[in-house]
Amino acid sequence: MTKPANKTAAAKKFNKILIANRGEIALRIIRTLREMDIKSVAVYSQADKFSAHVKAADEAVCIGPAFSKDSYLNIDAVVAAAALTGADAVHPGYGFLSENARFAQAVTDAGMVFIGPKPEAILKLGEKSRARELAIKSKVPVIAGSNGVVEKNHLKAARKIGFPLMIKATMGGGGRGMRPAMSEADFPKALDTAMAEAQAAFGDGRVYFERLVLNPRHIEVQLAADNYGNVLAFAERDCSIQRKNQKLIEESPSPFVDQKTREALCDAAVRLARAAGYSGVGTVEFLMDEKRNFYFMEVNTRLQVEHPVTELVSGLDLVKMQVEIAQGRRLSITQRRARQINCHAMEHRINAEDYTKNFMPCPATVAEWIPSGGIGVRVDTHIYPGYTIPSFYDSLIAKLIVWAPTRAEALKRSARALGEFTVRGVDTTIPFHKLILADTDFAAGNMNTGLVERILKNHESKK
Amino acid sequence: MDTRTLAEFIAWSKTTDLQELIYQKPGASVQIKTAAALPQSPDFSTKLTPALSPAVGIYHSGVKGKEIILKENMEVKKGALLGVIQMNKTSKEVLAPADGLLKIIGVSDGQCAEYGQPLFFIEPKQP
Repeated sequence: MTKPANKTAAAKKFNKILIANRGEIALRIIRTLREMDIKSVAVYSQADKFSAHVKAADEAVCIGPAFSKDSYLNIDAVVAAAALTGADAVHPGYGFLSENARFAQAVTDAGMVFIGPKPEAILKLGEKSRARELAIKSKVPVIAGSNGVVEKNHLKAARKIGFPLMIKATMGGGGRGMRPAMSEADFPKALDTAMAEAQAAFGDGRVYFERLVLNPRHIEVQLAADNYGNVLAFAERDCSIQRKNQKLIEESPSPFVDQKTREALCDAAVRLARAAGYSGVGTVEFLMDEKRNFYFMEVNTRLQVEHPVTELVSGLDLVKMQVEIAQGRRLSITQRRARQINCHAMEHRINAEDYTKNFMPCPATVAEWIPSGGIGVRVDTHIYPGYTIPSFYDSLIAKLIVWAPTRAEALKRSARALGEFTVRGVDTTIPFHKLILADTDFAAGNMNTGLVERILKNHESKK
Repeated sequence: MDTRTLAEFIAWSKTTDLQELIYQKPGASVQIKTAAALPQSPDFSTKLTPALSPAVGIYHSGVKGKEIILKENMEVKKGALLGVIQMNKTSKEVLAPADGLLKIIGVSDGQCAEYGQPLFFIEPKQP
């Protein structure tokens, strides 16, 4: 295959962009490209032949069979499709290859622009330990911890950090090998259990310690950075409504964060982005305790699922901003403008899942589909009546985003919009969103990452 | 014509090999067509087996510097190499899906192909 002539980011306006993704986010990106007079190329797997993003794009290329590893995660196939269609750039969306430095490099090597940070920045921030080191260097607060494996003198190391603390498996994941120790008295037993579990699950019993943040909120800051060192931070999003680390509702601004904390959060996120030489959009995630102390968690070096919340609050198109940054444009808005809060916005992730059966995915044919509408309502979706949801991918079928002048009005609007959203043929999480809205703690803005489990338990006990 | 006569008329027509019958007299007109008289939809089914593109990329008839000579109506064996699809860095072989005659060559050297696109059609050998 002959390589097209090398194009630098600053060379010219893009004429054509390939979207290395599917579903609602591919459609979302196509819409902005159309407004920017840029042609779009969709890629699809055989299972997505009838997906709305394929119909909406100017061109579409089948890149492989249904399984993601053979299609949407196949770097060689995606880059080949981009080169064959003459795309100037590749937008990775979220998930799939969006945070894969090898993919970003392969796109660049093929003479195209990767719409996202440079591969080096992805590597620097993608690895948790490296990102934590960078955060410490940038004076971004991190959760106090052992800074690496604790091989011996476990109790001494634990006392140094203080209780309550979390014992975590070095090779851990999915919550295995993880045990809280609420006090020194709990510690020996928790340590033995965590090490035994880590040994059994990962063949490596080594552990490290972290201070336990009780009843934390998940607060994140949206960033946009150009290639000239300008970094913008937007008003925070509160994503505390989540189940098993899967966000269900995101809102902005957080009902808990005050202006002083907001400034501190934004400044911390900007320092970290600067230290990493970051460009493009990205998100810095924090845990926040009950006293509004916040601690760095991780960086997502891509567009987030919940980015529309920030778009509505700021009135700015983040995908357009991403494309302009990749084209080599300077950010043209001020920090003050970026942090401006124009309304309260709330996103409900509608998944094809049955919440009464432990959120079991239920891919099926959509018999009836009438999304909500009216004032203050945006629905990002790729679903249409008669569409069969493939079982190969995640179960997100729509994002219902509402906005209103105040949180109280946004809650009313959410209830109205969820009430009129009609879906037949598949089970969705709409009824569960209604349960959350009916919760008094949520209504009062009094939430943390444990609230969803409590709502579920309450609901179970009432049955 | 009353319905009873009409029913008898239809029953009688079934005992014949007539496909179409038109009966006319002042005040009455009947036209009967049997199923055999209706236009038949063309049969698009084919006995040809397609060789599909195994990847998205550029088709090459030459593999490792050696040109594969393909001609229509030539005999091919199942698994015979018909070319390769060059992706960005790697390539995948296009193989004949059946023993038989290569009836249609639908791709030429240097042409783009997407995953699953039919590139060749083979008429399988009759057992």
